[in-house]
Amino acid sequence: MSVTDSQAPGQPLIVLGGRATWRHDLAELWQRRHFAWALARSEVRSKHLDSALGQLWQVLNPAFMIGIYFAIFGVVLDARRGVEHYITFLVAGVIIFRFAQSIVTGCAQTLSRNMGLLRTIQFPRSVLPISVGLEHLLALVPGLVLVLVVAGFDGVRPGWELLALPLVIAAGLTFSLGLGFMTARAAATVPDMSQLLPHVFRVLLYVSGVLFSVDEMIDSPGVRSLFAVNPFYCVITAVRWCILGAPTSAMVAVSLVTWCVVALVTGAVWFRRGEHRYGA
Amino acid sequence: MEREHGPDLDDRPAGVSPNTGAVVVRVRDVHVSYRVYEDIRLGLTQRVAQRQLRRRSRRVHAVRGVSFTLRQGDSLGIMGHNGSGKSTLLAALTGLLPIESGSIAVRSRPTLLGVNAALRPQLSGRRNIELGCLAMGFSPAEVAALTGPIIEFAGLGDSIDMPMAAYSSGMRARLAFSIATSRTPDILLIDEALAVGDEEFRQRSGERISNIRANSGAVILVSHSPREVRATCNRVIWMDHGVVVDDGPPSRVVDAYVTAQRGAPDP
Repeated sequence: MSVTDSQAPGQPLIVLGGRATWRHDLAELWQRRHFAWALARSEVRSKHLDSALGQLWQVLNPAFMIGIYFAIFGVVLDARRGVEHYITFLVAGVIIFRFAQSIVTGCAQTLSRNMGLLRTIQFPRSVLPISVGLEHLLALVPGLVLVLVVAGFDGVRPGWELLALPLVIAAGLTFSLGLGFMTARAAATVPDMSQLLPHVFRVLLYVSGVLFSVDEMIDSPGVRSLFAVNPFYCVITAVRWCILGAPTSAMVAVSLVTWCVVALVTGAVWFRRGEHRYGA
Repeated sequence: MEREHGPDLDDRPAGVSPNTGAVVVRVRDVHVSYRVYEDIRLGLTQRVAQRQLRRRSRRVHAVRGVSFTLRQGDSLGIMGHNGSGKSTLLAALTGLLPIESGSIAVRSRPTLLGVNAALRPQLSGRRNIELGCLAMGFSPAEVAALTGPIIEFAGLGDSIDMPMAAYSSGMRARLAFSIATSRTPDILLIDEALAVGDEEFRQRSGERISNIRANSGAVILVSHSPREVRATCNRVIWMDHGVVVDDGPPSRVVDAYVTAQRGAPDP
């Protein structure tokens, strides 16, 4: 926000409420990179402060959840039939799905959680969703260790595809952050968003092939290709390709890249348009 | 300074000490309104019967046409009873609240000091200093250098490592003031924040404010305290229902405000 007022004598004045250039905003954002990082770290640190096992819950939580999914979907509903290394398949899917879900949900809450900061200090508001992304990237590390340990016990020997994992995670982060920008602004206008999101993700969990193999369950190639439209399915499939070397289609890659670009650009632009209203 | 100032000088009411410095804040015919939702319990049948399916909301026209110009070294006090639009005007001056019409131009982004400036209550004072300073755009090295002086100025002692939620309102206000003024701000907006500190801190913060004015910045203080306004300000605006009732030197306006308050107590 630095539109100059030409009528002013001496030093030009800044007209409040004007819209600044992207270049100016990005420069300010870059200056706040330490802030985004410090906020992300303090969030991770304060998450399990009051529990006896502390940070261990970062691994225990998903581990328990995966255990339950394995019992119900894998064993009782027999989703593991025909899927090689089902347990690794499941762990990788759940961990990466939770990563994307936490970012989108966290972004929806970040503006109201940081009301004190918003009302006291002027900084580019997009720092907040970005720090949510960084926070869950940090929290993903123990999850990834869990995936690799499980894969090791499961007898999976990852190939060269594993080298692409950072790239795939970056894609997952980009796309989730793009959606997060949207949910952040939506929740600022309609606080009910946060109530709705868990249900949306419950549905997404079932239609993104987290718990079962889409290739095994669905015979029709037409319906199967429909899944490639779902960005969550694409991220999960790409991660499984990295770890298990499971074959995947080029369509998944194309869809993922498209989603990343579209979600991030749309999200960032839309979030910025409402920026002056957050914290009011 | 031999600059053409145009009509700006006319904006200065009679009796306010003359100032020909550069313009720091210019507020022109600013209107601010916001929407509030009514909290009325209505059953679904009543809603349908009264055709009120959406929650009823009302626009509050909180600031109605306020204008003033501040120059280097000016300190403006804004007085008025609750709901007069003072705090809304301050929020608009930070650029955080959009204005409906008129314009606000400033030399640099104002720093707002509010009453409840607990940044992250669950974190310690020390972490809040770190986050606050980083949010203001300091580098980690600068933050490290600033932390000691901030703690010292706030006078919090060992409490600095306790969560801010455990602080008294006075401690919170002291810390917030110390963070906000760690780098001498060009334009400082204070919303009732100084009243909470004790006498000693009030004196120290008063010195900092004089410092800001001496460094050619400007200060805007919203306050209920006639004593505080007289001590800090060289100009006072008295607001009522979003409109400027009086604008002039503290000697006149503060007295008029106090007299009016005695005559008609807060509604």
